[in-house]
Amino acid sequence: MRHADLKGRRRFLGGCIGACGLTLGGEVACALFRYVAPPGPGEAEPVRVPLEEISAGGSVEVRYGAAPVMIFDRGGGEFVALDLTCTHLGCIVKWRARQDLFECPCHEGFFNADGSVRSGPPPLALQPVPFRIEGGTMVVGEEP
Amino acid sequence: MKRLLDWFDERTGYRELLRREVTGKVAPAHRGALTYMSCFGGLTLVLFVLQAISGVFLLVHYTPHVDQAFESVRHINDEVPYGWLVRRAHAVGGSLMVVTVLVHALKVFFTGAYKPPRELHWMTGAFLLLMTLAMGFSGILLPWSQLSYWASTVGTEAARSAPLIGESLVHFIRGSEKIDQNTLGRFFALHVAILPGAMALFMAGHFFMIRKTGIARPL
Repeated sequence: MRHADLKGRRRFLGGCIGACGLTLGGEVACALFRYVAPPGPGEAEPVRVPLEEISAGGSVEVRYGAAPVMIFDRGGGEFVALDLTCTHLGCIVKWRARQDLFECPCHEGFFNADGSVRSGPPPLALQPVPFRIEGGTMVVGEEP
Repeated sequence: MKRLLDWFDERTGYRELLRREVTGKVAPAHRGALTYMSCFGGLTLVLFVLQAISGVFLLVHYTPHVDQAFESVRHINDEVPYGWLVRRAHAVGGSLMVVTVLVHALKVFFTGAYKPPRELHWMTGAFLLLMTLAMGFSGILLPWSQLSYWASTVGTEAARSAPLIGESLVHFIRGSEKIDQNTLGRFFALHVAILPGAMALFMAGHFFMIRKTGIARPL
């Protein structure tokens, strides 16, 4: 066999082995990625709270999906539901009833009772959570 | 003992190797090449070794689970003999290592020691700096204390401001929406296996390059 033929054959076989290696390596890499990748965010189930429970203390804290949510009875059949996750860097704000405001302990962000920013680093107001009233029950969140 | 070492030397030739690479190696002669500022790279290596040792001892009693992590660290601190020492040494050593790495990097930067032919020293060093910071960031979550939880919440949340991929990046780093067992699991794997292994590899490259070029001449 001529030398040139041999060289061509070697290059072809080398290419084949390389392609096999890439395919197998790619499959292993995909499997490992799936292994460490987090599952998609699960659908959050709506939370049901009896209205008298909210009215009794003026407010109630519930968990909607991964988010802590605070529901207020503003009187006159008016309710507010706020996501307590700080809009700055994701800490959980605390309700200070006496001062009538929310305080974030991480970087001293303050929010007014309606969720708007009073002072500090937060760029946005506390996010309202959708809810509806069904008879004597408040349903926090949306049906998945 | 002598005969045992002779036997070993006959087969490995380690004495020749030691003479050539360690004991026969002299410090550079040019004036002003070595100052106290030159010791921070070496100090970082010493700290890395100490961190590895104290880290392995901590592993003996630590449990990477959200229900038991804090309790196991409390157990190390309060009940295991000298546990307080190992834990404190590991925590303080980690902070010190960040300081020595930064001083080392600044010294190299301001004396221009990264210039050709020493670019690879700088590149491997830059990765080592990033990995040292990543070690600190993953390590702080492991005790699962209030400080751990909120420091990691804030630290990972910062990634959300990355354009386009911010949301999924935070989700991927945490392994779930909020910091939880998924986060603890992956930070633990990073902290005790992946990062130390990668750092050892990069350090090997870093030191190989220093041996190859020698240290830079003084300004």
